[in-house]
Parts: sequence; C-alpha cells; structure tokens
Amino acid sequence: MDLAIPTLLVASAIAFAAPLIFAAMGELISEKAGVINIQLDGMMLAGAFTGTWAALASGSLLVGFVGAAAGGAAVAAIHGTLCLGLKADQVVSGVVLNILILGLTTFGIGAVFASDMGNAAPTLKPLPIPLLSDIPVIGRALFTQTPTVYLALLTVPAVWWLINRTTVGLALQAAGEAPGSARSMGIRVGRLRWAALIACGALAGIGGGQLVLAGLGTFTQNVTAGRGFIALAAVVFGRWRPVGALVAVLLFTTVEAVQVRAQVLGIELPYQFLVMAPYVATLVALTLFTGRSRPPRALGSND
Amino acid sequence: MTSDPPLLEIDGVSKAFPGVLANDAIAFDLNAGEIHALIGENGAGKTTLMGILFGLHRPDAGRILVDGAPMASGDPHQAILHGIGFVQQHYSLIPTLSVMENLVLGSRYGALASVGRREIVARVEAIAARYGLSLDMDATVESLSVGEQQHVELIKSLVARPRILILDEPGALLSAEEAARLWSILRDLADSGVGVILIGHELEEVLAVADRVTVLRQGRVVATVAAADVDVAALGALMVGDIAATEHPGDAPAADPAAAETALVVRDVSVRGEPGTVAVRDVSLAVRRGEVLGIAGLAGSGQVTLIEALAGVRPIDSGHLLMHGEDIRDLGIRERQARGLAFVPADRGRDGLIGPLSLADNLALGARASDGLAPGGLLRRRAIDRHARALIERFGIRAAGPGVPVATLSGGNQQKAILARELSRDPEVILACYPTRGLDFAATKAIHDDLRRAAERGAAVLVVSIDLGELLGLAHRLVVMQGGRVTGEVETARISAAEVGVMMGGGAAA
Amino acid sequence: MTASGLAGAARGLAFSAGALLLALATAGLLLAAAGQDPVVSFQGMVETAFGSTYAIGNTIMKALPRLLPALGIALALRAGLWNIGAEGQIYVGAAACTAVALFGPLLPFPLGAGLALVAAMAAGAAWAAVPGVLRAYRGISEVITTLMLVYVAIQLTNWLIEGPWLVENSTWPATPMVPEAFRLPRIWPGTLVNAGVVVALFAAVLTGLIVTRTTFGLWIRAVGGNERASAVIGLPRRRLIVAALAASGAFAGLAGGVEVLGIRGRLLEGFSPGYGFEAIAIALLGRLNPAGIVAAALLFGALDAGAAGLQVASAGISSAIAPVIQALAVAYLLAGLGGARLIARRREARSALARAGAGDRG
Repeated sequence: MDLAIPTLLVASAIAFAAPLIFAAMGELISEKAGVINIQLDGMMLAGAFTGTWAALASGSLLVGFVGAAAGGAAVAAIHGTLCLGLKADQVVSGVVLNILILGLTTFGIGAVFASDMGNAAPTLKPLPIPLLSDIPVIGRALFTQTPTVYLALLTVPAVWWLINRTTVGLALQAAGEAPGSARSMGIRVGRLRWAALIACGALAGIGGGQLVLAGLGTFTQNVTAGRGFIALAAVVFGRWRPVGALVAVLLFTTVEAVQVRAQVLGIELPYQFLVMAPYVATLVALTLFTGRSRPPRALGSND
Repeated sequence: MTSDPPLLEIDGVSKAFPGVLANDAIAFDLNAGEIHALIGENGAGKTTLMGILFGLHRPDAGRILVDGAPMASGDPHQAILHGIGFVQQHYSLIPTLSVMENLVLGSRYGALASVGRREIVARVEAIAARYGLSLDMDATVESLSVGEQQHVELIKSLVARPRILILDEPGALLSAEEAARLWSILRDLADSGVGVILIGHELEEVLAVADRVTVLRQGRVVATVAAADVDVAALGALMVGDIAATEHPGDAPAADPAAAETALVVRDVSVRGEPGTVAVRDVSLAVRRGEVLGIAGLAGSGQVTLIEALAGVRPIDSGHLLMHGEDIRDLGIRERQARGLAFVPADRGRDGLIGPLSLADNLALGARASDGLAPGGLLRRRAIDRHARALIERFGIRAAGPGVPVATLSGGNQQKAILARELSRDPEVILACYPTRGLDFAATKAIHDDLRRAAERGAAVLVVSIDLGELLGLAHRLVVMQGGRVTGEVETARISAAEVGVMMGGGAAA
Repeated sequence: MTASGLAGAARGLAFSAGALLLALATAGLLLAAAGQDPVVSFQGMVETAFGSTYAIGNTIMKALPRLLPALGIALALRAGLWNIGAEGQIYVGAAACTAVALFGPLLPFPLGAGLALVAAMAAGAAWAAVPGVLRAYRGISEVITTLMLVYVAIQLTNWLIEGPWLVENSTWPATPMVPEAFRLPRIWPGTLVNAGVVVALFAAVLTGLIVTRTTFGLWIRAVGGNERASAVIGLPRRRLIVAALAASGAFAGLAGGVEVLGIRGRLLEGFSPGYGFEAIAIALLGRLNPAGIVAAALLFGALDAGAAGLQVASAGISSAIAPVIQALAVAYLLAGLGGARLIARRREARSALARAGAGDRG
C-alpha cells in the first residue's frame, strides 16, 4: 500500500513530462541549428488551440494531433519569416509572438469554440503495455500511459540519433556553431535552419496538443501556463543534449508532481518554492556549468 | 585555332563592398595541370575573387566558366559540384566537431553526397597515408594546432578529388618543412591534372612552385606572367606599384637616435595566444622618442598578439613593459592611455570603431578628461562637435559631418578617424597595427604622414605590418618576427633595393 | 538635432505608424471573421479609451506601468542587452515598495512614498544586476537569465502575499493596504491620474538625458554598438553591462512601486498581467526614443482601456484583441524594418559599384 503514492508520483511526473519533452526536443533541434524560440510557449499554446479545434471538428485524435503540429509549425513559420527571412532579432520576435498567440487563442475561444460550449474533444486513453505494465510500481507508472507519452519518450533517442549520428545532424550542429564555415562546406544553412525551426514548431505544437488531448479535451485560456518556458529551461539545464534535457524535464515534473500532492505528502514548504524550482535550478546550473556547457555559438545570431 | 577552353575562366568579374571596389573587371584563367599563383598586397582583392569563384560572394558583374560553360554564382554548392575545392585562410571547419566528422560533413555536403560514409573514411585514410598527414581523427578540431587544422582542410579538399584546388595563403602558418611538403603535394596534384590556384605573397616560394603568376593591385589585374620570365624583384615591383619607390624611408629621426630617450621598453615579454593564434615568447625590444620601429613578419607570426598585449587588450604572462621607466604591465587600458599610450588595432571594423555611433562620439571616446568634453560625466555637445570638427580638419577625414554614423565612412576615412581619436591625445607611444590594410594610395599616404608627424613631434611609434614596402617607407628600424619570437633586426636605411625584394618574399628576412 | 536626424526620426515614426495601421486592419479582419462589425468595435474602443475626461485618465494610468519598464528596456538595449525580465523586476519592485510602506517608519508624504519608490528601484536594479553580472563576468546570455528570473520573482511575491504578508478576510490573495501617507495623490480631478504620471514623465526625460547627455550614456551606447571595440578603447565593459542592466531593472522596479502606491494601494497577486513583456514591444515600437516610447505606451494603454469597452459593446468577443493588435503592430514593424534593411543593403552595394566604376574610389 505504501507503494501507491510513489507509483502515482512517478506516473504523474511522466505524464506531466510528455508535453515538455516534445517541446524541449523541438527546441533542442532548433537551437542546435542556431535559432532560439522564446515563443516556445506560444508554439505550444497554438498547438493546443489548433489541436483541440481539429479534434473537435473531425472527431479524430489523429487529425487533432496533426492540427496541433500544424499550429505550432505556423508560429514557427512566422518566426522564420521575420528572423531567417527578414533578419529581425530572434528575441524580439519570440517575445512578440508569445503575446500574439496568447491574445489570438484567447480571442479564438469566443470566436471558435463558442458554438462548441460544453463539448469536449475526444481524448486519449491510457494504453497499458502488456506484461511491462504488470511490473510493480515502475510498470504501472511507466507503462500505463497514453500512447503519445511513449512517443514523447521515443523522440529523445530519435533526436539524439539525428543530431549525433546522421550527416544531417552534423550539418545542423555546423549551422549553429559556425554558419560561415558550414556555408563554405556547401551546407545550405538557411534551409537547414528553416527545417529545424519548423520541426521545432511541429513538436512543440504536438506537446501543446498533448496538454488538451490527453487531458480534459477543452481549450482554456493560456492552457500551457508557461510550460514552454520550462521546456526552454530544460534545454539549457540539460546542456543542449537530448538525454540531459529529458533528465531536466523529469526532474522538473517530479517536483511538479510532488507540489500537486504536497498536502497529501505532508510537505510544509510553500508551494511557490516548488513552482520556481525549475527556474532556480536552471540559473544555478548555468552559473556552475559555464565553460563545460555552452549554447551553440551562433545561437540567435541570424548570421 | 581550335584549342579547348581552359579548365577555368573568370571573365570580367566585379564586386563592390560598401565603400570599396574589391574586384574590378577581373580576367583570369587556369589550365588543367597548372599551378597558377595569385599575388598582391593585402586588400588587393585576391581573397574576394576566390570567394566569388567558390560561391561565397555573388559577383556584381562578370561570369565564371568551367570547361567553357558558365557556372551559377553565389552558391558554394554549385562550385563544389563543378569540382572546385577551397582551402581557406580562415579554415571552414566546425570547431566543436571531430576531425572525421568535419571531413565526412565536408564531403557529404560537397561533391560526395552520394558516397557512403565508410568510403569517405577510407579515402581520408588513404590520402592521409599517401601524403604523410597523420591526424587524430577523433579529436575535436578546436583542440588542434593551426597547422593541423590546415591538414584537415587540405584533406577535406582532396577527398572530393577536386579538378580545381584553391589555397589561400597556405604557407603563412607552416614551418619550412611543412611548407616544403605542401609544395610537393601541390606539384603532385598538378601533375595528375588538377588545376591549382595558389594565393600567396611569399614571392620566392611562389616563383619556385607556380607555373604562372597573376598580380592583383587595388582590385585590378596588373599582369599575368609566366613564372620563368620574372624574378622576385620584378614581381615585388608589380605588386606594390609605385609606393615603395616614391616613399623611401626618411633619414634617421634624430641626428643621433641612439642618444635619444627610450620611450618604450619591452623586456622578455611572453603572451599566451588564443587557440589558433601564435603565442609570443620572450620578446624584447625598445622604441626611442621620435623613432618609428616596424615589426615585420609573415601574417600570424605573433606580432598582432604582441602589440595587443602591449596595448593592454590581452594580458602579458611574463616579462616587463616599461614606459618612460615605469612598469605598466599590470595597468588597464585607460590607465595606459592616461600615461600616453595610443593604439590602432589590426581590425578597424571589429576593434577600432563603434560603427553605429556618430563620428563625433567616436572621436570623443578617445578624448582626455582635460579636453573638457564631459565635465562631471555630462556631455557638452558643442564641445564634442567642436572637437570633432577640429580633428576632421586636422586629419582630413572626409565625412558629411560630425554627426554621421562612423560605419558609413569609407575604409580610409574610418582609419583616419581611428588615428584622429588616438593621436588627439598627443600620445608619447603609438602602437599601430596594420595601419593601412586595404586602403587606397591616398589614404595610405595620409596615414603614413600622420604617423611620421607624430614621430617628428617626439612620439615613439611601433608599427606592425605584413607589407614590407610599407614598413620600409615608414620605419627607421625593423625587427622581424617569426613563430612568436623576434628573429632579426635591421636599419632600414642600410638595406638595399635588392634586399627589399627578398624580404618581401619572406625568404631571408631573418 | 540635425536635419538628417529629424528625417530619420520622421522615417522611424512613419514605420511605426504604418505598422500600427496594418495591425488595426488585420484586427478588423479578425473581428469581421468572428462575426463582428469592425467599425462598431473600433468605435467602442475609441469611446472607452478617449470618450471622457475619466476615460482619458484611465488610458494614461494604463499606459504608466508599461511606460516605465519600456524606458528601462530601451536603456538596456542601447547597451546591446536584452532585458526580457522586466516583468519580474516589476514584481520585486512592488514587493520592496510594499515592504517599506507596510513595515518601515511612517513618514509623511512625500518622504515615505519617495523612500518606498527608491526601494522599488533598488530591488528592480538588484534583480536585473544578477543577469548583468552573469553576462559580464561569466559570459552567460542575459536572454535566458532575465527570463528565468521573471518566474522566480513572481513566485517569490506570491509567497509573500499568500504567506507572511497575507491580509485576513480577503477573497483574493493580497497584503493589507499601505498607509494613506504613502499613497500617490491624485493630480487631475475627476480622473484616476495620480502623481505617478509625474514620476514617469520625469523618468522619460531622465532616460533621454542619460542616453544622449552623459558619459555613461555614451559609454553604454558604445558597448551596445561594438562591445569588443569598447573594450579595446578601454571602456569598463563589464561594469557598464552590469550598470546598464541594473539601471534598466530600476525603471521596471519603479513601475511596480508606482502601481502599488498609485493604483492598487497594496501588493496583489498577479497585478501585472505581462506589462514587462508588453514593454519590450513598446520600447521597439517607440524606436528606443523616450518620446516615441511615451507615445507607444499611451497607445498600448488606450488599446488596453478600449478593449474593456469592446467586451461590453460586442458580447462574446474577448478583449484579447488588444494584445493581438499590440503584438501585430510590432511584428509588422519588425518585418518592415527588416525588409527596408535588406533593400538598403542591396542598394548600397549597387551604388558602391557605380561609384567605383565612375573612377571615384572614396
């Protein structure tokens, strides 16, 4: 019986992690190529909105997630047009897009979902994996999740493989580290950055879609509640490595899971300190790990 | 006559950068199996031209033909597909990736997109073995020495089996032995039918290695000659034009310079270089009041590192730096300035000026507290404006007014602005690094005159240049640096015209 | 200012105005798509924002908490630094101000209020100095650090409000009201406009003077224009970076203080719905120029105030159209400036060729 609470904690930490993993893996790809997305939260929010919309309209979860990816990718496309095309500053564009998407999706609740009031989009059900889900504690926690949670976990080795084991991944790193050199190697830096950025938007969008479509099925104002910023922090905390970012996300969501159940667990610490923990941890990590970890050299530069 | 078209033909290529015409209707051709050297002073337009050939810049006019067929410009990918390889002066390597990753990347995105990774690795190893270029393939590029990085670049180009291979100043950072090996590799390649373009300014080596030589000056082709038909002196004259002839060194600064007061003493100074730059070891020299001392040497011999350390831009690790007998080694830049030091950095765009700020503001940044431009931390706009107008007049800076952003000035006027800013303090010691790099004749002359006047006024002037002609025209005395050490010293008044040519080639400079 | 400077300012204004018009047009399309009459909607907004003395005062007060951080952000941008954490500095400024007003000595106006506002500035400055130090001495980009500190600041303030400083019997987490002596007095009868406006206008003039008329301003512009060259020239680059970010934070902190003493009278959870982020947009829309920033802040204030009218005028449409217009205006501005830059670069290269071709080598 004592195992119930740890199981629940791990299970919810992993469930909370899925949207963040999608977003963090997207951001990782994009940052490796040299594009920073302060609007990662906006991408998630857009994905949550369009994903809900698509799922409601079609009644299909698959269409919902495709819609979510498209929503995130659309935000990425605006960012790309401004920054990669017109060489605007990536930070400003990101800040502005966050404001824009929060405004647009809030506006859209009334405009789009008004007729659907009370209706919820279809939502994902947990898919226990046979045998594995029977393992005590771990099995319940790890293997009784929605399919997209497994997918999120699979993106981590996939992104690692892409970045470290494929020529495209090497080229991606080249574009983010030394765009000038990359260009004279024949790498089309601009195209590669566009591709990385769109991939980031799509992944973040799917992460946002996960929030709604594996949750309550309804879009509410600012449903991401700043999760994009946590994903951004996780990439930094994870030192621009996929596994590092995954560990960071799991660390952050474990704290979140504890915070949600703080009362049950008899934790006296004010919850605000748990909520700020990811940001404090990232700041401390940045301060301590400098030299050994650093962002791609050309991050945010538009060179 | 129905001869085949040349392997490569550059036809009337022009390229302008803001304020300067880097290439002006260039015509150049290259045959298979030939080593064609491209020489000229810094800023003559060699690197720009090769950049255009390789697609790094898009030409404003003209075209490039490979085997007689025009090649799309402005795309390195196209150049690579046409069999062009480029070993750049600033290596195009990704510092954080390993040697092999760089080679794979360079090949897969180059001409070998369809070649498997394993095949590339095999080719790399074969080339490394054939030419005796041993490298740790798993080391990250940033951990390699400059010479080793060049090996990576060379291998990267050779893996693609280029038909046209361009090398930009390949000998500059190599030891004599390494250079000799490189020349034999190039000859080997040419014999196998590759066309090689060699950018250089070591004239002796150029003549020894190349079949033909094309000389660029101020963006134009001055001559294309067979290497067998010219000697070092003739090439040197073509390269520098009239400057060396018209500006002969002045006589000794003081009637008896040895008796003049020593203003700056550098004693056993060592400076750790950044990765990729040469460290400075145990350099000692002295500059007297009224004297111009030149530091000669090939690019990358440690002279820039040294002068930056003297200016306070980078720390001196050991040794002493004395100004008028006081050790200023541990002082900050501002404190050195207050004691009468001025510095003209090597890279004016990067280190010299604040581009978006106005000319007046840039000039004010170098002013002394006693100039009264900002009493109590409050700027006096009128005084700043007056200060600027006076300097614009005195240094002949051509600008629409003191209020224009300094970045909009031409290169020559930017350099004049730096000199104006630094010389406005009436400094006692002036450190000038590449003071006329990339400038036209008139601007060069104006800057030389400014430095000479400063010396006549009694300042000690230390000039770093890789342009020996410039140093001979300017300096009373020369020291030569090689590999971070001072390897020789000459009085310019005692050097003959023949020796000038030899020294231009970097041959027996020491 | 020279003629060319004036022409440049006029051109900047034209870009900002054009971007705003495009944003309004886009918002009109959105409203129409949502089944609303854009003309009626915009009339409602204008009416609510400017329809009466009270409305104008309300617009001004809505501009205030955006104006002050925007001035600070512009100052940091002059030094080439991104203070995207003004939102957090607003909160710590408000908290410090509240602490002085609640627990400090009960001083008469304007001493007490002054002291509380100084505390607000100091707290904002300290909060922003942390990323400054990390940037200057450890080379860590201020973009991520200022942003991360926003959420730390908000949670810290929330804890103070819900914990040690919580007032009893309140439906919404808040501290007790600060003593009346600390409140900023109203200065325009019939409106909510208080003395904070004077503080803000003073701050606008002050930042303008700092940038154009002080050595500090010249030096931070130098660092912002070319950090490397500034170091080579001998400017104290690191200390300037810390100082510029701290100064930037001080203005954001002041905004928090003015909001507490002028409007709310106490520290409220979530009192700033993103003023610090909007301020980034305002700083850019105002082209970093104090007068332009005041205008842009008033515009944002009017949109915010007017949006309230929209909700009433056309039921069902959320007032979220205001931030949409704000963000679109800046996005269009970025696009316009970027496009103009690309065109200028091409034209410059062409004219350089023409000049050189004519034999004039400059």
